Amino acid sequence: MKILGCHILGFGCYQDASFTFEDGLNTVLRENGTGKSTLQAFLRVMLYGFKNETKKTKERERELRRPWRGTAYGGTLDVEASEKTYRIERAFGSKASEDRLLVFDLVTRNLTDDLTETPGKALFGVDSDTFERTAFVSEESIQTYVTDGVHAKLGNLSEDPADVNRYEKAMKLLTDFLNRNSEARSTGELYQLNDRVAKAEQETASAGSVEKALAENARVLNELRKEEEKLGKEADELAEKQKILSAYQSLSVERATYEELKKAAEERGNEVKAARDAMPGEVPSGAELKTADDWLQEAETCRKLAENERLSEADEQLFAAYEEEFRNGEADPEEADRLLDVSGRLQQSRVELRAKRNEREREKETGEGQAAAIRKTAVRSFIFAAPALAAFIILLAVTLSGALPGAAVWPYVLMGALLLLAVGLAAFGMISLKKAKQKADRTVSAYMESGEALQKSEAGLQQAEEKLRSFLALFGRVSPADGAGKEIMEILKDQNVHQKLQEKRKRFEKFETMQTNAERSLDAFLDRFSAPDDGGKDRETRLRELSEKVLRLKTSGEEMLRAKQTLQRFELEQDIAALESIERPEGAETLEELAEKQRENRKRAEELRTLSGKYEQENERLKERLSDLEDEAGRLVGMRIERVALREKVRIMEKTKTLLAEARRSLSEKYADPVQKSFEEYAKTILDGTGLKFDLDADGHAVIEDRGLIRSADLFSSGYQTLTYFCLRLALVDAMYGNERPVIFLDDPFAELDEPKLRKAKELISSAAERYQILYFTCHPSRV
Amino acid sequence: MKLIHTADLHLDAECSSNYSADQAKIRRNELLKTFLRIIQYAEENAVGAILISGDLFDRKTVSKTAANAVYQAVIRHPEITFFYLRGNHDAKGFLELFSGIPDNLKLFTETWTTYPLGETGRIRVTGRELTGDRTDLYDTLALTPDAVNIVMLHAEVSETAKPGPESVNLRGFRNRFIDYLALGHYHAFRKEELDSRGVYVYPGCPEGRGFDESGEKGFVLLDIDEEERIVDSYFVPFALHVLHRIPVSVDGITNTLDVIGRVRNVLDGMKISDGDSAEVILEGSYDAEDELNTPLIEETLKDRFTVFKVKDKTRVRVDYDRYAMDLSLKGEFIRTVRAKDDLSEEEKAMIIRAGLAALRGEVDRE
Repeated sequence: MKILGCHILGFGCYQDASFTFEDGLNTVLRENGTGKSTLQAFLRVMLYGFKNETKKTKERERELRRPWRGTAYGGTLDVEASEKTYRIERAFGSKASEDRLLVFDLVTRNLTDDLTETPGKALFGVDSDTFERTAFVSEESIQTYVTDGVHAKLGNLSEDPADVNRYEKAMKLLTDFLNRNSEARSTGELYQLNDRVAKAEQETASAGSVEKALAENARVLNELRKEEEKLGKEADELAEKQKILSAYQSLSVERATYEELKKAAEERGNEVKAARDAMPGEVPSGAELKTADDWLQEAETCRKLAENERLSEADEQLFAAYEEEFRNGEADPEEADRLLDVSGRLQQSRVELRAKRNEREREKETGEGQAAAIRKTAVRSFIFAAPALAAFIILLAVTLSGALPGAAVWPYVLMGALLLLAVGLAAFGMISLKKAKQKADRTVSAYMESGEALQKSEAGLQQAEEKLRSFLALFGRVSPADGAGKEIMEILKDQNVHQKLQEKRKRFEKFETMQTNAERSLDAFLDRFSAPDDGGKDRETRLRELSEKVLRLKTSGEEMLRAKQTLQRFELEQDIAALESIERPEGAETLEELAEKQRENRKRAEELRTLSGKYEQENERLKERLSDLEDEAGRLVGMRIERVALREKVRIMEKTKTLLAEARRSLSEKYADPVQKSFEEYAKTILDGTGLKFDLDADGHAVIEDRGLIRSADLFSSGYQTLTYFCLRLALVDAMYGNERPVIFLDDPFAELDEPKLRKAKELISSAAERYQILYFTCHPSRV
Repeated sequence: MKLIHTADLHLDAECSSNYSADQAKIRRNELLKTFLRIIQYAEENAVGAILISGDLFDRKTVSKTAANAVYQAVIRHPEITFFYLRGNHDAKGFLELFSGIPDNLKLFTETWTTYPLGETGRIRVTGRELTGDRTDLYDTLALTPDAVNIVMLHAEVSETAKPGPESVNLRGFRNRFIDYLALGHYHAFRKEELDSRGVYVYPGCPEGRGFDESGEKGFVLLDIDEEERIVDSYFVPFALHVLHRIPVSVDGITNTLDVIGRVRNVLDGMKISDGDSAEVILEGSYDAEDELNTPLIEETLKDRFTVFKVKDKTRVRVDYDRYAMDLSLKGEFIRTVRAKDDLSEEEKAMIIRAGLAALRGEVDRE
């Protein structure tokens, strides 16, 4: 195929631009940024349409290449292919559905359907990506594509060339997946899943035996329960026997008790009779005995008391003396106190009286002295007043005589002062005289009054002394001069003792009388109730013996009564007829034997309970186990489903891997050899004259044979790597494009080559241009 | 009189198929909690009886916690009569753990047993456990025409006599004076006409345990007028947490992020409570070359759910023509797979998808 030319209506920076192209090499020399890439893109888009149509608007090529000036978007492309000439006419809208594509046969000028679907595909038999990966050669694609092997290249023709060896990676991923999920490897998921399934199946298979064990457990528990029930019944029967035997024994005991009660009542009766027989006469009551005992106690008590109150001989004598002293009667204590008080104050009164007399005299002297002093003061005042008066008179006289100047005031003032002084002193003297008189009068008056009081006091003293003397005389005492108090005190003391002795004598008599009375009463009592021939026993003994008899009678009577009551109560409470008719129950077992059987029964019951407990525990364990097995069964279902799904997935992956490998082989077989041949041809251009030889190894990687040594192409210099890639690219194009050779686009791929390599590159281009139309875009003339 | 009809609570269920061990434990407790909530609802709404039509428990052996909870709930509500009919999963002897059967707990046997209910006694609850010989199942059912007849069974009903230990023929119960056939066994609510007089109802399980039990769950509340012999019944949603199975079409989408966006839109348009679980089923066709990372979808959207799963049920779409001129390994691979006659189209699509994913380096992501 050959591009004859194109006309760009509007595309990126181009507007209404036309280009024509020749066979072979067409060089487009333009500076950077002047539309080289845009022109390449236009040519590609005209053949294959826009890329990245599914991306966001901004990233779509359609938008990136939209005409700058907003003109019509599209153009025409004239091509020659399969001996036909076509004009491809495209108009682009905002989306693919708005695009228009028309293909004209340039010879007939008619529309044709030959290339209408996608002109590029129709012409070359490859899709857009493959076309770009083969027919478009740029510097960028060289840098990252150099070490790629043919096979990898063949595998990556539709992909980003930067992502190499996808096949190898893909196979590794698939292999890893298969290994990871292998059913044969022990680390594989399916292997382990099989293992888990097998274990679960084994586990769940034991569910039947667990259920059997549960059933057997239930059976044993049932048996144990039955035996327990049987033991329970036996225990009940034994208890019944024990009850009957116990009842009999109780009744026997009751019967014995009844006999004893009857015997006791009889014996008590006999005792009462004996006690009564021991008392020939009446039987005193308890109260009477108490009274008699009280008499006895009283007589004794009174005796002791009387003894205590008996006066001694000395006391008797003393008493007689006091009788004599107080033959006239006793002193009134109040009067005695009063007289004591008087006696006590008498001496003091005398002293006071004397002091008062002395004071009276002193006061008199003092008063008189004071009056005299006041008189003296008065006289002095008069004495001083006289000269002042004389001075006044003199001055008055002078003044009246006119000896002094008429206008002078001071004489009058001085006269006034002298007059005032005289008058004042005179007045003071008068007052003082009056005071002195008053003082003297008062002194006299007071003296007279105090004299009367003293007299009265003296009279009183005398009276008091007389009373004291009289009082003492009543009791045969004479009052000494320094105090009758002591005598009075003695009188009172004697009187007190006398009174006490008197009282004591009275008490003695009283107690003696009481004792006698009590003894008489007691004797009368004893004579009434005791045996007359008591053998001269004393009252106490007689009374005690009597009391004992009465007590005995009473006690025995009470005991007899109690015994009868007890017997009656017993007869009321018990079924006497039954008691008297009880018979021993049949059976030779004793209560002890029955108790022993009960113990054995309980022991066995305990053993059964323990055993039941163990079985119930086992039951629980088995139920839990069964529950776990049910859970496991549920999980087993899930695992089986998971296994089926995983096996299916593994099967698909195995197929995928197999078919991917098959596709790779097929691809290689289709293209590898032709590529190799072409590559070797092109490579000769590079290595011509160097003695080196290019080759492709088994994996399709470029290698150089240097003096028998094989070296990998990635060891080449970058320049040689570029040239190697270019050869490989050309070889691919040779191999992959069938009938219709494509146009090769070179987008300045040799910018980095040095001069020798560039020369080689140019040779390669020239060589390729003999077979292909090449559009070579560059920005530098040196690379043309 | 009000009654509650429930069944298939499956207390003590493992719940491990969708939940982790810790989550399963929580979910088991939630099953028990819902049972207790039902009783509380009954107490608060003056419900006189609770009909449990089988599978109260999930297994033969019952944990003490579950047994105690059920027993205590019964004895603490003497005002509620519990009718307990065992199903194919139920434990035989959970009552053996206790000293006696409470008066308000009514049990059933292998033969028809009838209990009167209600103030007038006109409500009759009849039930039978399908163990043992069932040849006389239909013939021995004798109901009084003027009573309000509630019949309890744990069975799969059908119009034909399907063989199976839990299968019964609906025809055998038509025109037998049944007002309400209280069934258990199916885990989804279903109410259908039985005959001109009555209905048959599956209340469904009150809490789902797996995504095959997704959607609203609860119980059926019956309101019976004894005098007029009218039985009204309606479904009461009651689950603590709902499991949602959500189909999402990925037609026209080419990448995982857009799938996430579409799934999110669907979820946002649904009534979902925190703590619910969801299983998103991706449907539709998805190009083999496009990437679809289901773990990323799960990780992005899982936060508001207890369990969140994404299942890829998309049909792999391969545009074989697109690769006809692809001279790369990819194109060759697709052509190779396509040419295999021993593979089904579905297998080819899956292999191509896996191969393309491998070439992209994304084997374990899908």
